[in-house]
Amino acid sequence: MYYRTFLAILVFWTTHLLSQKQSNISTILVENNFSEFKINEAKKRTFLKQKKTILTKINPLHYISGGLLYFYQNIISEQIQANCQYQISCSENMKKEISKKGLLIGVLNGLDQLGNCSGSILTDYPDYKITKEGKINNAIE
Amino acid sequence: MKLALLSFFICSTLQINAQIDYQFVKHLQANNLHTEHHYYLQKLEQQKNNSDSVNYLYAKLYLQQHNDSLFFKYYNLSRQVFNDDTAAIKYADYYFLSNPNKKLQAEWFSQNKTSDSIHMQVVNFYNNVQKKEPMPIFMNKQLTNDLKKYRKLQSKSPILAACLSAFIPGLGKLYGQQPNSAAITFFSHGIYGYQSYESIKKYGIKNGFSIFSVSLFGLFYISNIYGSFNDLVKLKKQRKQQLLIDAEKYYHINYPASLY
Repeated sequence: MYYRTFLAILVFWTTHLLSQKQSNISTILVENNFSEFKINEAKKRTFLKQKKTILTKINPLHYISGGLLYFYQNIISEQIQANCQYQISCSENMKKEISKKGLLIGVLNGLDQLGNCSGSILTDYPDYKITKEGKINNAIE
Repeated sequence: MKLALLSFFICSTLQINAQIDYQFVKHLQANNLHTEHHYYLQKLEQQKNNSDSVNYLYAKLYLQQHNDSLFFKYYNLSRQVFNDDTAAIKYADYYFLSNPNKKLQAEWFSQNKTSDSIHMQVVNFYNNVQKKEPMPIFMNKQLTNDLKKYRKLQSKSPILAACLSAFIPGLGKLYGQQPNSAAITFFSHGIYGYQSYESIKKYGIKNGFSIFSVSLFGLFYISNIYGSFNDLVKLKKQRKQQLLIDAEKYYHINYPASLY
């Protein structure tokens, strides 16, 4: 008797799971429009823009950091297919922060973002900061 | 007798023409005919009749269009009439709760506009988010709890967060109500630190690889201190904005108000 009941439950769950799977396939089929797949063109990564002051013009660190960021964004990032948790990636954010707040603050901000980049940090941010794509909106305020 | 009748007829026709057709205004608003709406109000303005009511309609139009500066201009011109319209006041309350312009938000909630209980609650809520006043009891428990959490966060010092992060990486983030971020920072810094220690132990401090790993660890360590400070400053503003957005949603869902 016990064996039969167990078998019945097993059959019920198997069919239930199969039906679930079936419905999932049908929803995927409905959602797909079978149009030609287009690959999004990669964003153009520009060289670091900085304030045109004498200090930035003569400071070699600005050119080194700009060059390193350019190299990372155009060569390394393309290869590793990095998927960032933030809307603006750490390298792009670092570039923006450097051009807005200076080299030191920019580098520290970028490294802090890089150190924090993980899926679990989404819950640490308020809901309105999470975009529809499930990324953190980190636009400079 | 005939002359008197004629003059009465002319006067009454003019009076009718000068009156505001509220049904027509409602129709213009419902169909989003903003240009026509504006033109109609301009015509009423030209007739120079009942300017308070026209300014009141202008204020409502600009409120609907989210044109804040012009809304305030016309609101100030028709304050008395506008404040009598409870629905419009409620609509403006909900709108300004989630408005990103802090100056206009503060201006709107600077005083109670009517004795309406919902309006007074919204103003009270806003003032409680701004200042450390005795904790009131709101209709919604979730809002009260969120406000308590926000107040706890407000009392935290970014400098202390930075000091805690200098002591143990990630501790400042834990103090700043970011537990997941704290855990990641702690583990990543642990790995960087251990790797630096290993390289020094194996190759010595003068080795190039040791210098590189120690410098990298140092950079991440300083960025963690700066990040803890910066994140807490930012998080305070963000939580405040979230609280006001939540309040706007709560009041808007439970006490809806249409503008017309």
